[in-house]
Amino acid sequence: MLMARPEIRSIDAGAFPNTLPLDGIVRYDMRVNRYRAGDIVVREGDYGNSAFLVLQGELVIAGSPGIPAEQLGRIQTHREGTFRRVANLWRNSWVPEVRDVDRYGRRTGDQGSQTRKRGAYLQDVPAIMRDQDTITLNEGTLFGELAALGRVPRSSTIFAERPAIVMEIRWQGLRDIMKFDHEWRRKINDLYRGAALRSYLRQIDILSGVSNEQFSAIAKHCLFETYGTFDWSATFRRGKPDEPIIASEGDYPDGLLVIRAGFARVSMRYGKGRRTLTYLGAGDMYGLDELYQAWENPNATNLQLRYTISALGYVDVIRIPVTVLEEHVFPTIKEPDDPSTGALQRNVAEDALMEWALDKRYMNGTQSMVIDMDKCIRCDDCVRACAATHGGNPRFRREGPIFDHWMVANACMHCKDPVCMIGCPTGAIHRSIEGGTVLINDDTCIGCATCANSCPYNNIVMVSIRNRQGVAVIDTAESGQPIQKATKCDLCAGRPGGPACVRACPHDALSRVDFRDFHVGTMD
Amino acid sequence: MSSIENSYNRPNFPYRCGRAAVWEKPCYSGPNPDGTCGGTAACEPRRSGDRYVCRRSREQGGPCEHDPLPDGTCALRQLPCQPRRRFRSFRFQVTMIAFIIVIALLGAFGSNGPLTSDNATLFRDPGKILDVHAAVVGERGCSSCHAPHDMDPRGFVLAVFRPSGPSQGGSNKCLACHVIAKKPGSGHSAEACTLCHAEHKGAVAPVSKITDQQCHTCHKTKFTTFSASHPEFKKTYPYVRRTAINFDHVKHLETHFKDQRFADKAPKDRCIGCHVASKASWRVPIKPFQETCAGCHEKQIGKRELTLFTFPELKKNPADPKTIADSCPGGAPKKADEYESASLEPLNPVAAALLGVDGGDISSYEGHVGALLEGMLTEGNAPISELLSKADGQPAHLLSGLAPGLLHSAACSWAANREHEAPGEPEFGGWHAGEFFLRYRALRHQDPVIKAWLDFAAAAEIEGLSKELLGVDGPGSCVKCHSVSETDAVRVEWRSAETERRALYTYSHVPHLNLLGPGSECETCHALDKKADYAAAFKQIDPKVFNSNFSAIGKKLCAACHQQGQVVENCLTCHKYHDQTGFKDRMMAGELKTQGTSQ
Amino acid sequence: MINLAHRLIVPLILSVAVFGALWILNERAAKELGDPAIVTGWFLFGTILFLGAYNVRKKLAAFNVGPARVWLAMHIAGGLLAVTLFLFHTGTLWPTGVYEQILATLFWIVTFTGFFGVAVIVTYPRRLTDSGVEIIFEEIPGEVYSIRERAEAEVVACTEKYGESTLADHYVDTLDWYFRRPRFYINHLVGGIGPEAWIRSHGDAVRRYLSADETPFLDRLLALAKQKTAIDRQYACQDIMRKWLVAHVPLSVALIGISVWHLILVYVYAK
Repeated sequence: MLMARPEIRSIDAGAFPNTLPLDGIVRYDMRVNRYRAGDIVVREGDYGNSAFLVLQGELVIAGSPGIPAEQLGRIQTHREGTFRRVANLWRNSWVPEVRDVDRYGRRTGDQGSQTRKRGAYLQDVPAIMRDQDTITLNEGTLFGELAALGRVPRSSTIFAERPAIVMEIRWQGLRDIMKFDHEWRRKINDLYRGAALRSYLRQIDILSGVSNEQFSAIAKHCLFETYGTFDWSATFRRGKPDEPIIASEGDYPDGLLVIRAGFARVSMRYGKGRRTLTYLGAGDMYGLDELYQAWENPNATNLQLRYTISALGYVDVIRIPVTVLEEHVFPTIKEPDDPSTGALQRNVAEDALMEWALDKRYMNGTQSMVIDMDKCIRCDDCVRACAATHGGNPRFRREGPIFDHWMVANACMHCKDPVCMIGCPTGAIHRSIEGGTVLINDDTCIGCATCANSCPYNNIVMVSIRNRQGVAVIDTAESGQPIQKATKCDLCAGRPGGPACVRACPHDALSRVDFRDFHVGTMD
Repeated sequence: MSSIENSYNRPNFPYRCGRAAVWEKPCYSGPNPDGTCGGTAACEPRRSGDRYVCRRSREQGGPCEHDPLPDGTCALRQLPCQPRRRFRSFRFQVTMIAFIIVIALLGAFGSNGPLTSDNATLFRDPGKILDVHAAVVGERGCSSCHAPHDMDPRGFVLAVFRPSGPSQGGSNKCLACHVIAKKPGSGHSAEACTLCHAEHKGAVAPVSKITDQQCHTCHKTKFTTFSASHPEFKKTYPYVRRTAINFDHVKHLETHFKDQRFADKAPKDRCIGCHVASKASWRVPIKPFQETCAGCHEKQIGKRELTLFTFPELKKNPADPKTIADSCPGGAPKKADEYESASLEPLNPVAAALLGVDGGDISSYEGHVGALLEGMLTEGNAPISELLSKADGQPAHLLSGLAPGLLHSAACSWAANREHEAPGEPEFGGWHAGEFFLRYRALRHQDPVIKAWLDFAAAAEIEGLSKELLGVDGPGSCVKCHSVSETDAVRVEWRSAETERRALYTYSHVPHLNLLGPGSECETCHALDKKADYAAAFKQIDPKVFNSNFSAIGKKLCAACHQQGQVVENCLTCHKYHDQTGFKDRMMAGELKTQGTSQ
Repeated sequence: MINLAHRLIVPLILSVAVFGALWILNERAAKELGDPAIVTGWFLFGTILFLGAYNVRKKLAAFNVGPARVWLAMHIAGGLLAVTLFLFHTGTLWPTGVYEQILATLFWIVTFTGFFGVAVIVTYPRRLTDSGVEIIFEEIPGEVYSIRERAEAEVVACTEKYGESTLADHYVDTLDWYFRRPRFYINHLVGGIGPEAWIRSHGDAVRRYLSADETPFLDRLLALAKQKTAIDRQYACQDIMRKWLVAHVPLSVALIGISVWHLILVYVYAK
């Protein structure tokens, strides 16, 4: 059926190689979803990995003010009252992972069947249609490609008001089609340029002095490039992290690279290996100095790139061509600093921590739990405090890789690039708007373990839930298996004072750090 | 990575595997929440359809090769262990036990239970009391000083809120034995002894430690140290009144003692010739009259006599001839027409004062004298005795030694209008009558009769009497040296030094004598003031008006040694809080036997 | 340690201020013939209660009662303050009176265990980190067992393969004792290198009697013993870091209990 669709038909099947035939993509990377009235297709704030094409019927985008978070299956970050917290002193049980299973039974299926999970459908569609500004997506509309291709959260919630049929294409398929079909590539790039690029470019500091007309020219000529694998966590967990090179030292610069999402390593040859100078995250630039020197000294000959840049996991890059820079940008800016001066003054031992952290991909973390083992007396007060704030169940382990005297413990790092969030079927794992904290809604989690399997650091733990007597809760209705839930550090959301672990350490050994601020020697 | 569900990764869990405690292989998941062994089975088999499936976790190696038994129990079982408590839980138990033990012990030994009836104070005694107090306290025990409280817990709790320390609780038990005299008007009137004095500091520990700061709390004039800023002494310090004995140190030391005529009689060595340094305390006592003054002054005593009665000139015969004839051996005198008095004397001042008549006016005294004479003839000493009694004198003292016959025989002579002839000179002193007078001669110091007369004159306040007897030229020359002073009443100062001690003040000469180094003398501090008009003060009877022979002692003199780094200079060195302290004499209940504090 | 010293600055200043306030109150009480011992006694009691509150705070980790590192710094500074207040209150190291001596005994034991605790927290973390392994205390028995299992497997394999019981006998005579449970407790506490020396001398003694084929088994055995040394150090240090508290905490609770009675006695008999 899909092959018959005009959008697919328009693709020139002959352009695809034999190893990657179009019908293979259609068969394995696309599927057809049938949505009932009220079903949510994508949620605002989710990290997704697929794009959608409306085949039949229409979908509704909930514009402003946006659907309330709890209807999307998000957790309500309510503050736990004082009385409740005092009562917890007695209520916390030794039985691990106790849940009030009666509550589960009461909650789902107020209006409909038991099988539709909260967060997967909207309960009161007419109210939403009435209260929100809505946009209709008609047949043939392609949406969701931003999230599929880049590491961008879904910008709005899209749901079905009436039954609809939608084709969902995985990012792998989408990318393959874009690689070989110009029409799709152009269409998607245009969508991309139109939607997100302008606002993003405006934030780049060297472009701040550029006038509006020049800005349009720049925007028109920017190139989008992606390096590394979208689901780099899978290969990383298997122990085979790949690190494709974006540009090598010794090459000639071909435009300024601005990192849009993800991380890239800047390194140079050193001895018989490669030595990391720094890493770049969103908003950082590579090659600016060399290009500027080339523009200033047209007759100079040593204009090669000094350092190699490689993708740490996954990185989305915008390449601004040299001509654009020379015409519109360089005249407006001062000479940039040479970013490497600080780096080269340090010795290898000083950089060892950074090398180790990058190899472990810890630069991703905004709240990495770092324990100074020279101060830690191994009293486990931190774990106890975490347990006390979570009903007797600690949400991390005081274990983890150690470098010198720093341990990075197995507690959720609330990554910048949250690979765990990709693919959650119910939206239980989400990023809170206020703090950037990644949270799991225990009520809507169905225990599929997608997030736990994705986390490159094994910081998400699947637990069997039990009742008060200690008996494991079995999903008697469907699978007969014990119900599991994903658990992880939630930075003590909903509690004043911040994470309990930090507060509980008597020796100031434990801290939640953003790795960028933590290690010595970062080129900022 | 280890599971988060086993008990090893849950540090708040109180139990640990019993096998681990003996270093055997610990079970996978640790004890159960209720404390029983959680490792008896490797897994909890799950029913799947009509069979049971092994659910051993991946970390343990995944499903085992044995299937669960048909009844659903795991095939890999082992004997249960005895889970032990972890240190934290053990610590909590020990803490609870410690707390309970403390409460139990306090309950058993803290209150006055039978367990401690023999030695009830052992756990309450914060330290031994002074040995001397321990001897007094004896069997009465704590309630000798502390207010008693009821034995039961309620009584104990009430005692917390009622003051029951030794000097509170309404009864100052210290005063049961100690007597603390209070200087009237003094602000030193703390009611509770324990404000300063504390017991239970050990058998021989000092009972109090008073600091200068405590004195400064009340005294308005505050200063830092004695040598630095203690107020200057009074202008006449240490003298507050004139000496009791009119002894001009300057005249004697500088003039009389140096006079060659008295060289053998004068005391040697200046001050210590008269003052007994070995008995020095707050004053340095003087040797008795016999050892010091008698050499020069004893002879003067007899030179002035007390005239009790002078038969005065009369106009007519004072006595009835018949009375004379009956009383006197010589019979009646010759009858004469005109009475011509043999005596031409006026009545002596003493008698005039006693009779209340003018001694120069015959008409005023004639009748009294006549009556007196008649009485002397018939009753001997009685009329004089009555006269004295009427004036509140004591004849027993005033007329001591007056033989009954002496006055009678003299009276007979005077009644016969002739001189009385004394057999001889009263070379041994005493009462003697001669010519027209009855006199008393004192030859020795401290003559009791003269003393009695002077005391009588001082007390009687009869002007003529005082003038005659209490002048510098009075009988016995007593008043030449012994001043007559009026404080609350007029008195002759018999004793050589003021008997009233300075209240709240303590000074002892002892540590100061010889401390000032060889060759130093009393006059280092007591310097003679040669310019002072010493004698002027004795022309009146207020002892507080005086000029001392000695220059006042200034603070600088004391501070030469009593200063920082040298000799003590705290308040209590010289000043006292309690005036006089002593003990009640318990043998004679209630009687006060004051014991000065040896100063 | 530097970090601890920095964190103690403010609490120590506060303690000095409290002591200063008490000094002034004490002087005033002495001057005005009040009861200075009552004043210093209450301050001391309050300080001891504050020190005890630290344990209560640990139970309230779920509440926002202030960071534990601040509490610890206040606890240490408060402990030093309590010592000075104790000396100020009693005027002596050892009071008269049987009950007071019991109180003083408890106080000094708690104080000295406290000093021991401070010494422990500044020296042992580094020692633990430098041991080269990191293991949770509760998992040590499992690890010790696992090492022993592997050691025994080596010995059995060697014996089975080559038929000689040399290594096995030697194991039974010497290394078995070593692998049975953590050893050299005191040596590890003081950071000594006794275990390595012991392994070298005892473990290696059999080498001359082994064939070239058997030697690798001995090497692997000794490597396991070396691994165990690190585990033993973790055990000894972490164990003593728990045990000292079993002395400190219960005795401090007993101290508080006994102090309350002392308070009552003073108010019954001396007020």
